[in-house]
Amino acid sequence: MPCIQLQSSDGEIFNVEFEIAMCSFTIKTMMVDLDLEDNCEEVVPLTNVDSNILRKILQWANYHKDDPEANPEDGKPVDRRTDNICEWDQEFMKVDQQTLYGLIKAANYLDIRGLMALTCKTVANMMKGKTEEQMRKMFNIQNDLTPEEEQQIRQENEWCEEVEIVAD
Amino acid sequence: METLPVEILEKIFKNLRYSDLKQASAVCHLWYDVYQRSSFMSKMVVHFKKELTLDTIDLFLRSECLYQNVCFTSIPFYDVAKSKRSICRKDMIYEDNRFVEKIRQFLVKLADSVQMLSFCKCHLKRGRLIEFLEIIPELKGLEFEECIFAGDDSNHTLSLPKLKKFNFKYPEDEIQRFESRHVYSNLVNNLCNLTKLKVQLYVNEMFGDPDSDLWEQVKAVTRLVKLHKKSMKSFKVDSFNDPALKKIVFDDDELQLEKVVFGELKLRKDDQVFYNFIEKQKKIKKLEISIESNIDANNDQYLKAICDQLQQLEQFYYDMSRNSDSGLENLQKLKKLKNLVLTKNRNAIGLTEHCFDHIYMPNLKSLGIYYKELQLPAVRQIPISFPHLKALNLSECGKAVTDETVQLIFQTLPEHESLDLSKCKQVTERAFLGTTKISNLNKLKDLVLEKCDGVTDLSLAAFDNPALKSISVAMCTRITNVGWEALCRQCPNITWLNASHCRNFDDQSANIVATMLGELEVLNLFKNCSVTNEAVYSLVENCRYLEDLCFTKCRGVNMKKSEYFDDKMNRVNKGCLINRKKTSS
Repeated sequence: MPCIQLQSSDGEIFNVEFEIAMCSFTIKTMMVDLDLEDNCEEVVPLTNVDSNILRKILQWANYHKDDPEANPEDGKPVDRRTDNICEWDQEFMKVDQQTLYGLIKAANYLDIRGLMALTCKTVANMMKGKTEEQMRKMFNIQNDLTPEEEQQIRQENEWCEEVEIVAD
Repeated sequence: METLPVEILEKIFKNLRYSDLKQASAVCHLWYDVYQRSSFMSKMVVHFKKELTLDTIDLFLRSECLYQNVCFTSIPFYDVAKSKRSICRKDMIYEDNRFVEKIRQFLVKLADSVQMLSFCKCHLKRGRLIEFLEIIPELKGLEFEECIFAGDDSNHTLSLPKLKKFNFKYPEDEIQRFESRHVYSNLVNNLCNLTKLKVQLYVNEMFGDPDSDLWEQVKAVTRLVKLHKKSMKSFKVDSFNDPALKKIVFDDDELQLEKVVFGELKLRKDDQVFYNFIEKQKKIKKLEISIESNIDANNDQYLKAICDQLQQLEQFYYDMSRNSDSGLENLQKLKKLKNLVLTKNRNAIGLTEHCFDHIYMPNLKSLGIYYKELQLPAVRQIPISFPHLKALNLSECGKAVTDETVQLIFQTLPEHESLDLSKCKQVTERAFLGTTKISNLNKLKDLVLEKCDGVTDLSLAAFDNPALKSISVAMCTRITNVGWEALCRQCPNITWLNASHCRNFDDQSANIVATMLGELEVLNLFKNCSVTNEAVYSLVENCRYLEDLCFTKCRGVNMKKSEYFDDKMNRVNKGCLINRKKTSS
C-alpha cells in the first residue's frame, strides 16, 4: 500500500496510506499540482494542524475510508437535519471543546468535507434549544453587545419570519 | 478560549433552525455579523403587520441589517375610518402621512438590499405605490394579495428592469376590485423580463357577462403575458376561460413554459388550440390542469396528447373526472414523472375498479389520489402498478381503504416513507397489528390518520416504528393516555405531533408527551379543552427543541402576560395564545 508522510505543526511525522490521505481535498490538490503522486519520499508539512488533532483526523478518515464520496456542493437545499450522525461518529465527537475547535479548523483547512459536516453539526447540536445567554456560557463568549444593541437585535428579530416566497 | 473564524461560523449556522439562529444572532457582535451578512438573509422576511407602530419602524431605521424580503400586511397607509366612505371618490383620500413618510424612509434605507416586496390587504394610493417602487429600482419580486388601490390614475411608467416574479390576487370586494382593475397591467411594463407570473382571479357567478369585471381582470393578465412572453417560464392562473388569453397562451410560439398551472380550463370538444399548445410546449416539467368540458365529453384524447408530447414532465396534477381506464393508461408514457396527483372533482362515467390494472410506472415516487369512489381492487393494484412509491396519499379514498389494504401497503411498498390515510374511517387497530414484524416499515417517517374514527389506543399500541418522525391523529377522539403512552414509547423520535381535537388529551397526556418525546419540535393541541397551564409548563420544561406549540381554543389554558415573556416561554409560539384570548373575549 503506497504511503505518504504528513508532518504536524509540532514536528511529528505520520505515515499515512495514500487512500486515506486523499480524503483531504487540500492534500489531493497539492499532490496533483506538485506531481507527487509517485513520490512517497516527500514529507508534506501541515503547519496548521498539531499532532493531537492530526491523529484524531486520521482515525476518523480510516474509519470512513470506504464511504461514498460526498457530492461537492451540488446545489441541493441545505440539509438542516443534524440528527443523522452515526453512532461511531457520535462517540468520536465526545471530545473537549478545544479539540472540537481544532478539528473544525483542521477539517476546514484540509477541506475534508465529511468531517466538516460532522463537526459543524456537532456544534450546531450544542447550540440548539439554547438561549443566547446559555450559548455564551457554553462557548465562553464575552458579550460585547451593549444592552441597547442587544435589545435592538431582539426586537428586530420579533418582526422577522422564515420566508415562503423568494424573489428568483 | 479562541473563537472560530467567520467562514466556519457560517457553516455551523447553516445547520441551525431559524429559532436557534435568532438566539445566536444576539450572542455577540461577531455572531450578529455572521448572521446578518450571510445567505440566511435571503430566507428571511421582515413582516410588518397590523400592530406596526412608528416606533417599530424607527427600530428598523436604526438597524444595520440589510433585509432582502419585506412584507406589509394590513398596514395603515390609509386612515381607513375616514376613507371608508370615499373609496370610490378619487379626490377624497386620507393618507396617514406619518406612516407613509416612515415607510418611505425605511425603503430608502433598504433600497439596495430589498429583492422581494409583498403587499397583503393593504390600502394604497396608486401614486404612492409607484413612488415606493421607484425607491427600489433593483427589485426582483413583487406581490399583491387582495390589495385596494385608490387615488389618481397617474400613468407613470415604472422602471423595474430586474423584476422577474410578479404575483397578484384580486380582492373579493367588488368595489375594491373595480379600483384595482388597471393597476396590475399598467404596473409591470415591458422594461423588465418577467419569468414567473402567478394570478388569482376573482370569478363570480356572472361569468360570461361582458360587463362582469372578470373580463377586466383577464385583460390585465393577457396584456402581461403578451409583454413578457419571451422570458416567461412559469405561469399560474386559477381560472382560465377567456378566448383572448387562450389565444396568446396557446398560439404564441415565443412563449415557452416550464411550469404551468391551469385551473378550470374550459375547452371545446377536440379543441385544436390545446393540442397546438401541448405540441409546442415540450419543456414543461410541472403541469397542473383541470379541463372543463361538456358533461358527456371524454378527455382521454387530451390526456393522450399530454402524455405523448410532454416527455420532460416530472410533476403532474390532473383531474381525471372525464377519463376512462384506457385513457389513464397513457400516464405510463411519462417516463420522467416522479410526482402524480389524480383528482376527481365531478361524478363521471368511465373509470372502473380496474383503472390501474394496465399501468406500470416504476419511476413514480409519489402518488396522491383524491377520489372518493375509488374501489378496493384499484387500491390493491397500487403496489403492483407503482412499485417504487415513497409517498402515498389516499386521504379521500375511505371506501377502499380497509385494514387489509393498509397491511398490503405496508408489506408491498418497501421504500415507503410517507402515508396519508386521513378520513379513512374503516381503519382500525387491526391495520397495524403485526406491523412490528414488517421490516419495511422502518422507513416510514410520516403518517397521517386525521379523522380516522377507528383509530384507538390499541391501534397506537400495535404500531411500533422508531423511525417515525411525524404523525397526525387529529380528530381521532378515542385515543386516551394508554394510547399516548404506547405511541411515545414505540416511536420516541417523533418531532411533529398533531393531536388537535383529541377530546381525551389532558394534562397527564401532555406530561407523557413532554417526558417521552424529547425531540418534539411541533405540537398542535388545537381545541383540546382538558389541558391547562400545567400542560404548557410541562412541555416547555421538557421539550428543548419545541418551536411551535399551538394552544388555540384550549379553554383551560390561561397564561398571564408576565409569563409570556418568561425565558422558558421564549420558544413557544405566542401567537396562538394571544389568538385564543381574542376568541374567548
